[in-house]
Amino acid sequence: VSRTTTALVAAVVAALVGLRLAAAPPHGFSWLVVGLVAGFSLSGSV
Amino acid sequence: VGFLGGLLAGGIAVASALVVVGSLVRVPVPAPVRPWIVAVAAVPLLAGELGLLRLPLPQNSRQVPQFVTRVPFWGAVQFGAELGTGMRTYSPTGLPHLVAVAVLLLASWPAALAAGAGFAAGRALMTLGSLAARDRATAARSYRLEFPRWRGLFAGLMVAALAVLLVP
Repeated sequence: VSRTTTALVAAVVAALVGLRLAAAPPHGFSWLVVGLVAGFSLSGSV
Repeated sequence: VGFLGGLLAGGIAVASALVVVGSLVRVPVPAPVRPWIVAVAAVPLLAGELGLLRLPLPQNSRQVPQFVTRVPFWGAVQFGAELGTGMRTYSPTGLPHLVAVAVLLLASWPAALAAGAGFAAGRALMTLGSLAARDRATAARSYRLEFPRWRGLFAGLMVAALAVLLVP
């Protein structure tokens, strides 16, 4: 689980940084990630 | 399917409502100041995630209701929609509150839809992960026990994603 999680986190951060460096405002993607992280962070609560 | 559709409907409904309310809230606040308000709001919330501060967060302290099992399809839709709003069950993290502040002050309609859909997808991951697990009881226990240890990780991801939105 920790390896998969680390790989996923690295992929998301790399995508964010890559899109940012490519000077293409990735606002839609960033909002999606912001929502995704918030939603997934609640997974231990049900 | 009903549960996932409900999640999406709930997430998008709340994000849309936040944009509507935000359109009023933003009026007296100059545009350059709004990202700063989000950044300032993020400080105590992220400190709470890292265990540096204990914040009483608004939450709905309820468990999974019985109607989910009594009404097979529409019960799942209704429960999904309630979970998708983020206003059902406990909220052990302040990250959704931070996203709500960001959507309220910064998001356009498409951005709010993306945030709402992302929130729904994030909530769906647990259900999909449990369905795919070989041992669902172990998976459920892992979510309950492991997630509190990942709060710093989620806070870091949130900072990275918000930084892309806030830094011009």
